[in-house]
Amino acid sequence: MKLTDRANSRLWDALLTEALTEHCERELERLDGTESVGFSPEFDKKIKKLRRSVGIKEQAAGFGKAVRSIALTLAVVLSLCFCALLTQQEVYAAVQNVIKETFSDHDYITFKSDVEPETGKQLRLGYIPERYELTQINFAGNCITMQYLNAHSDSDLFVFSYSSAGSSFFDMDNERHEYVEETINGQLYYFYIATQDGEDNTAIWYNDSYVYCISGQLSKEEIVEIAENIK
Amino acid sequence: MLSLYLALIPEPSDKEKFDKLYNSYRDKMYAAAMSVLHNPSLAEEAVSESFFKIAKKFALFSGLSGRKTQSLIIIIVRNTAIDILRKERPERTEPLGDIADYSDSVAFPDVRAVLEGGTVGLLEAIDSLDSIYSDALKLKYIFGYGSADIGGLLGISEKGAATRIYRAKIMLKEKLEEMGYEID
Repeated sequence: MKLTDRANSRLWDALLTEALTEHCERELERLDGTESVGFSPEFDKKIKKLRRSVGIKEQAAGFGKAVRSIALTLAVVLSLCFCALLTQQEVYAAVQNVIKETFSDHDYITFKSDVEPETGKQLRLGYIPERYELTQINFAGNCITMQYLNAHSDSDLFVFSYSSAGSSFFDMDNERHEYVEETINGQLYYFYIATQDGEDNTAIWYNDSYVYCISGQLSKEEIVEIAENIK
Repeated sequence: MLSLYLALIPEPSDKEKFDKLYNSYRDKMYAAAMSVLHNPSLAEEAVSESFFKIAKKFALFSGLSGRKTQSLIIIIVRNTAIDILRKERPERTEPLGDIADYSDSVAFPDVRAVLEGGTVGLLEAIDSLDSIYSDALKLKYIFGYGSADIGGLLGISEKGAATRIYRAKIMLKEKLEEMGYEID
């Protein structure tokens, strides 16, 4: 029976390998027992130089691999640490340009800005709830305060203030107010919502190196509407 | 951090392996080179050139048995010696000739006919080949190297290595025909 070409070829490969191996072995047997030879100093120098180069490429590749591996590990570890730190309020606040310290009966909030604030900023409210009118404007350094009074009640007023972030601080009651952070239409607000009658609702927010505050007998929704219509 | 320090420490095994190769085989390499060159300084040059090739292709020696390592080293030094001989005495060497196209497949006789005599007939055919051809076959069949690695070890191009293997097979087939083995 005739072998297929493929089978014949594969058998030949195996036979050739066997024969070539035997050929090698006979050759090595002839070289066995070779006497030791003295080589020249130039030869020894060349070999020493060669010996130093052996493994260097692999070392460099290995070193590069190790450095990349360590850099990646460090990046992952640092990211995890940073994420863990972000759960700490002070760190989170620091990332958001605001530092909030909570005490037993009040919160102390300060702001910082990475950018030099625009000077001489002049603002006005584009929306004022119907019952209120502007009655007073105070200038204290670069802090401007506008007071809006209810025409029908001397005790019902709200205050709008703004100042550059570096010179702003707030001391907020947290016993009769609930602290709420909320982002509305892309703006993060720090609300202090009254939990008792007669207390004011307050909203504080940071924008473009300035800090703003609205505080008064207003609902949260009214405060946000005022905030969104500042001109 | 540990892996960084480990990467900075020189890998001892490669240098140790190289030292072992050098100490074990340099005399045999010299003897093999002398059998081709018959000149001590040229034989020394062949041995140092061979160690240079070994250092460049050191990864190929990984995992080889002692006997296989020795075979590979002798193949390298013999071919290096032949290259030096060609440069020294070009009129003493025969040109390889051009092969425009070569094929990986060469039609050999029915293997069963050759097997009847064991490998004796085939050994005789291999013996008849010039060592540059039998060495190329050894690198392909015993060590399983591709044309690129074979070229690197023999100091020729990848195409040159493929051509040499093809010519080796053709010569082997012609020798087997001479010996009476019929090719279909």
